[in-house]
Amino acid sequence: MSNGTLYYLTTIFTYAAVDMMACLGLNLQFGVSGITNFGFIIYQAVGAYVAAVLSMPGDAANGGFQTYIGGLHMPFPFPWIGAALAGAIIAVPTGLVVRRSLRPDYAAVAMLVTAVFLNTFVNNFRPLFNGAAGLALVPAPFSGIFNSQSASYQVYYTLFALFLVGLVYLVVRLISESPYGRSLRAMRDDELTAGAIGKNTDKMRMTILLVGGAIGGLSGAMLVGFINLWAPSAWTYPETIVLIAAIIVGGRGNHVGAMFGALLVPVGFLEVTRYIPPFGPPGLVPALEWVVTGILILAFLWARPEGILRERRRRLAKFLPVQGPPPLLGSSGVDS
Amino acid sequence: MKARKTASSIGTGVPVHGSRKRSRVLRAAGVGAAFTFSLASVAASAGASTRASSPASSGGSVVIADLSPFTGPDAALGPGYLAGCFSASYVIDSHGGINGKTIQCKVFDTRGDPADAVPAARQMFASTQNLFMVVGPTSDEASAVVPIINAQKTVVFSGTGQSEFDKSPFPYFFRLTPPDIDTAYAMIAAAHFRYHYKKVALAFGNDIGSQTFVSPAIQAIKTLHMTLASNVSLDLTATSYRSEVAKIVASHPDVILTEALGPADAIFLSEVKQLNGGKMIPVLGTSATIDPIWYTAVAAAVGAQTLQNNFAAATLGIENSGPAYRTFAAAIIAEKKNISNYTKYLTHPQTLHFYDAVTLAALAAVEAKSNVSSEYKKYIKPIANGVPGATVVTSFAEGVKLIKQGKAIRYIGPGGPTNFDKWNNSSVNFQLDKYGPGGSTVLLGSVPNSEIKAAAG
Amino acid sequence: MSLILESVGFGLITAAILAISAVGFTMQFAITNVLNLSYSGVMISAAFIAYGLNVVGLNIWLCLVMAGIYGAVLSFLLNRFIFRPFQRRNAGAVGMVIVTLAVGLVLTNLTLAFGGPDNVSYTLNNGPTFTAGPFVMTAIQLAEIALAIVTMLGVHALLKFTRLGKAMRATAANLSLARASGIRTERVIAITWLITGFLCGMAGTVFAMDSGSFGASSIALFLVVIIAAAVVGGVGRPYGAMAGALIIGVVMEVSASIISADYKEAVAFVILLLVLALRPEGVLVRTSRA
Repeated sequence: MSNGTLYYLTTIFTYAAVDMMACLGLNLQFGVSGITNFGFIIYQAVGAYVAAVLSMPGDAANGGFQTYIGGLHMPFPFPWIGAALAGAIIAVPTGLVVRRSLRPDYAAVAMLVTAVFLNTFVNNFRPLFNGAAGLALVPAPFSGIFNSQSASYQVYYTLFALFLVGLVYLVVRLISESPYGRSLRAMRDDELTAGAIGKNTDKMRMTILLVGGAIGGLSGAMLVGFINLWAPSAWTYPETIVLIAAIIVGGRGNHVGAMFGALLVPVGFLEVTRYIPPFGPPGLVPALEWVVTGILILAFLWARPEGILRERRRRLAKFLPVQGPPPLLGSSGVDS
Repeated sequence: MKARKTASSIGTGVPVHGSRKRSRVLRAAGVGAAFTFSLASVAASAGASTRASSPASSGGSVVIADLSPFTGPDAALGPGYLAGCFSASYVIDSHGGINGKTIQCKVFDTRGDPADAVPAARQMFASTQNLFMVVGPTSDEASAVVPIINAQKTVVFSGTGQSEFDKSPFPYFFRLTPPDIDTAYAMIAAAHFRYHYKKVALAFGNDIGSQTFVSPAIQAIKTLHMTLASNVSLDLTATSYRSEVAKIVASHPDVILTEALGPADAIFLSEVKQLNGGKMIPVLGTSATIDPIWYTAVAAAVGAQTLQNNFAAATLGIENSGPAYRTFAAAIIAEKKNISNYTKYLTHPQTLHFYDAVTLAALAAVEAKSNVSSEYKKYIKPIANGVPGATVVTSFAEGVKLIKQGKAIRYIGPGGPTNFDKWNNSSVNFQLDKYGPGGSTVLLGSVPNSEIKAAAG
Repeated sequence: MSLILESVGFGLITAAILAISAVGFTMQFAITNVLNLSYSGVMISAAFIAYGLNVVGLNIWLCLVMAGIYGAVLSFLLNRFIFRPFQRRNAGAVGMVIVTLAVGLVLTNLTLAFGGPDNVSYTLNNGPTFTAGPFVMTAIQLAEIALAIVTMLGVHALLKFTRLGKAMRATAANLSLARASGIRTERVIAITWLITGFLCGMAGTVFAMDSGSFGASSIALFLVVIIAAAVVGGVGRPYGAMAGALIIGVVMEVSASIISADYKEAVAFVILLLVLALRPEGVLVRTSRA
């Protein structure tokens, strides 16, 4: 295959890995545990920024055109570890927003607003992460040793990214297939009762927020290490809507479904539109893309709310009824 | 809609081990989908987006890619560069093409954001076998895509004024647009030497491309002993700037320097007029403000007459007469079916300069007898800067004729003479434009280099 | 100091636009218990409908009315064919948020697709500028404030003095009890969507009038400001929304003159988050009914 095609494929697969990892994290929070985290993009953004400022030299370097905190010039893998930690840390205050006592739809809107607020703030407060311009010239892992633009480096990067997705999948699967996972699903389906039988739902919620936050942060590090640039325009709130659409389409509560949704929606659908010859006024095709995304969400919510790959139905014991997928995206206990 | 299983359906669930096998199958299906998709993408690469400009020729064609924003707040930039490509390709194709190959101008929309620009650039390389050169990347995405383009050893002429590229380490990167620093100096120089303004207000958009003007402008204001009346940054997502405008109006500036793309300048300037008692304060813009889309939005918001009477822009020097320009203008008119609003691009600085960029690269390729970037790149600088004894040519046709005779040439197009330094950046002349009736561009005069040097200090 | 006072004036203008928008939004919540995130999509499409009519020569105030009618019809249809069916399917509160979000996405991007990417302005005469002390306003802006006041009075009159208004309040308070006492709740709900849709269409046009130049994406962040105004006053309470609009509008503009104006919207976002975190029933509610 030609060089150009190879590079394009590594781009597609790396972006797919990033989206799959993010969807796994979001699915763990929203699909399995019922946490209405519509601001998930925050974790990815924080992870990307932290990975960037940990791996970049101090802000006087490269001509001094950028202003940012950090600049510790750390070698791989520390920036990525830092990114995962940062994702987990920023998940803590978001836990205040999605707490039990707040109506889930209020919590959902509040998370969206938080994502919008942080984007506006970072965009305008230049000393933090260089404002609207974002951080450029972010070094790729091991860029001092290897040529990060060479074909072999790109292929290894993609394979490593996919490997990490595999690891995250195993971790997420472990969590949700364990007795702990049962408690999580109990919290999702009927929090009041789960609390009544002694499950500490606040602690579970915070734990899952931390884990999901770390996963989101790692996905951000993977993305910024690849494109070497990160700016507020890359994480506006519609990006979270794309991830939600992916989970709704792919399968809520089902980890393979979440990954499948990531391949279908952000990667498959949005990439395919790049091949459509531009017709009509400029910007028509991207606008129609969003229209179709919205219609896709509505269509799936109506006709197949559990997604293409539904959540596995579990048999607890021979005598007990089967636990099926939850009702149409509701957490019960709230009157509608 | 399947009903939910109720307690009455005891014992009718799917056995657990069966579903485990099912999920393994599904996982394989997911990977299979990815593979199929990638095969499809390779197959589909033949049908990538195109706006072919020239008739089919038996010699085959090469592609010139316009990799820049066509959507988002900077959506005005992409079409300007594309017009440069169309006009140049018209001239080149009618005189034998580049070593016999005609030119296809293709659009690759970066959407003004780096996370979208990288796949766009990669897809560009994947889907284009005969990529001759790339035009366009702007400040929104240049830092992300220029390294990629350079690694693929393709000549790229970029439209970014970012200072990071003033000493660029990328040998395939060429820049005909001035660094934003110089534009800022030119604006202040014009304000001081031509208009004798004393108090300057700055109102630049808060995005990458516009904030870079602020520090050099402040520095120049100090150097020339003018006064900085106020400095506000305009959030491009806001829908009103009344408080910012109130600050500016209260500081009583003689002139406002601005560049804020999207609807921002239109909103901002209409509010300046409102809060200044219906009277407009003089405004100085950058070359991005000499653009039909900017004009339409701002004229609708403040009134065409007001805009024409109170606005000037320091922009890249171009010629609007002479043989070089005539060739260019005829080409734009001939390509009018591909360029919407084509009359407005007749004096669009970026269009002219990218017309020059394509012509320069084409001449270099003819000289090198090759369309491969790595082979013709080394001829670009001598043809642009000229060598002792070179004959000056003003069009592709002239240049090709002399090259075939073995003579050395220097190409000077409607964008004026090029002077590439060792980082392939060209210093340009600046001129002052204003808008005339119907949004046409009217030349007010040039901004002499001596004044710019004085402002730079 | 006079800059700050001038900002209070600007805050009044913002509050006027917010008031018309937030009252419609909050009444939709009151009657259906749904946070209708597609509200901004209806607003901006209405603004473009008004623009289309304005371009062919119709007077801007007539365009405003037509946009209102469009908003009324669209909102009614959205409820009838999308929101209500999903609610009947027991979509749950979060499900409805996603549904309205998706609808809003479709509406805004259809507006972008049909309206085009360029930013447009209405053809209107701004009128003379009036200066009263530190306050500076054009005639159009005073008209916007007047329109907001008239609308508030109209809503007040509707709710307090008409039978329909009583029925609306009853349905909002307790649906089943209202139905049991003989109120035709289906009709009341339908009429509420018509009325709030009219407000929404008007709000979109006023929003666009106030902005010197607008496009389909101008409204994106404004929805959050509307939600802030509604939440501060207590979601579901029309009078709360009016007060919330005043508070948020003035605070936003005054903060813009004190700290950098870049953070104007961020201030509204922070207020919304604080209210949701500390007192979600709204700061203007006397007793907290959890």
